[in-house]
Amino acid sequence: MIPAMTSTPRDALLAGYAAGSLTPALQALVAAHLHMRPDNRAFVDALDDEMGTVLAMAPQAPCRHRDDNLARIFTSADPAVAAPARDTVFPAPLRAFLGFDAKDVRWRFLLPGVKCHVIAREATGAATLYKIRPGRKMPFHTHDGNETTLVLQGSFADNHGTYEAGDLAFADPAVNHRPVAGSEGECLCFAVTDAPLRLTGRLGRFFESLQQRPRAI
Amino acid sequence: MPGSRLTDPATLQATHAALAQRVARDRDQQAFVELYDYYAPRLTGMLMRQGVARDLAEDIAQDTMTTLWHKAGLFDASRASLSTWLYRIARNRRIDLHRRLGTQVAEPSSWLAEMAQDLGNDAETGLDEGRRQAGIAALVKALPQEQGLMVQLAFYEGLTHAAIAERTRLPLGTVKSRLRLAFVRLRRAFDDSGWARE
Repeated sequence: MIPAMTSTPRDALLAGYAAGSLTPALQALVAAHLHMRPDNRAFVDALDDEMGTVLAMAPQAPCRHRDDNLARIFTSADPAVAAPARDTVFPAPLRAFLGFDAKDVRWRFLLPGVKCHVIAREATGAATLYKIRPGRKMPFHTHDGNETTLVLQGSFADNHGTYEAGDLAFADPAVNHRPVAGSEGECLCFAVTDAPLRLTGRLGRFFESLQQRPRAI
Repeated sequence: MPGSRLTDPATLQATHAALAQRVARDRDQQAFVELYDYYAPRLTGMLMRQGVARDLAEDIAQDTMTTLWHKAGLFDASRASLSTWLYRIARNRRIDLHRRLGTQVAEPSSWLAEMAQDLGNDAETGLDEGRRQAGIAALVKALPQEQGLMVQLAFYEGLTHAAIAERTRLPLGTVKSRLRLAFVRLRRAFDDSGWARE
């Protein structure tokens, strides 16, 4: 009765998002996924609503500066909210996290047909944008940690399935996969890992040594 | 916690929604003060329970209530309760601060702009009244004890996997697999409940 989905980290990830306990990079990834695809919104809305109930019944920490705080609020300026940018490639929550859109990414060469841009390395979790040429086969690789990937544009496939724009893909240390970008166009992905990926083939080890270089800068 | 709910939640939320409407429509300071006195200490309390230091928790509560004062017009009671709306603002603010304090990110965007985008999303996706009243809590209660505990720690207390491993003295790998299973079960119960149907 319980299919292979039993072990998917998806629902725990969504709950972590609702609880706000993920790294900022993963929070942004989930927000972007919810923005792109409706499938998981109802579940997250229900979790948020439960948190709202918890808040309404939460234990109180007495306000130490109530009158000052109120005075500050009533004299504060109404913060102007910029209209959300339209016609962007990146979904709004990802664009807000990055501070730029697809056209402004400073791509680095990773492998022939694969470019990457490392966004943050420490407190936010290692987040990387990938741009993969149509039909490009990635080298076999495994992961020391967990990797969550959101497809932003195009698609890729591995032995577990095909992932299209808005889809989430999960890889853990047990997964040794060889993703292939769809032939219909460039594949653009946002990936968040809790440890660096490890290339496993002979070629992979060579390219891994190349990949180390930008990290040192 | 029987007895701690002095007002029933639905009445409370209706009262708060009406106050928020007065803030939005009339710039009614008295209505705002009522909401401030209710939510500011609870936002601070909830954040502190999630491990946020007191000063930071107070700052986030203050920012959240400032947003309510200026943006109450964006709150739509037919989409979410006021406490859910405030919770989301506080959560986003906390993440935004975490990001800024923790790392250098190119050109950080205004958190208010992000929040407004989030609220725009909420407007499209909010649960309807019937689904909201049903609630997740009952589904959590129906989970086996071991999984209920995982939901308690990871969701209600917002602990990281490492913190859960420490608390339960379980290996990290075991924690991760139990968490996955617990939330898969919760999700399935949610989907089966029919509330998730569009």
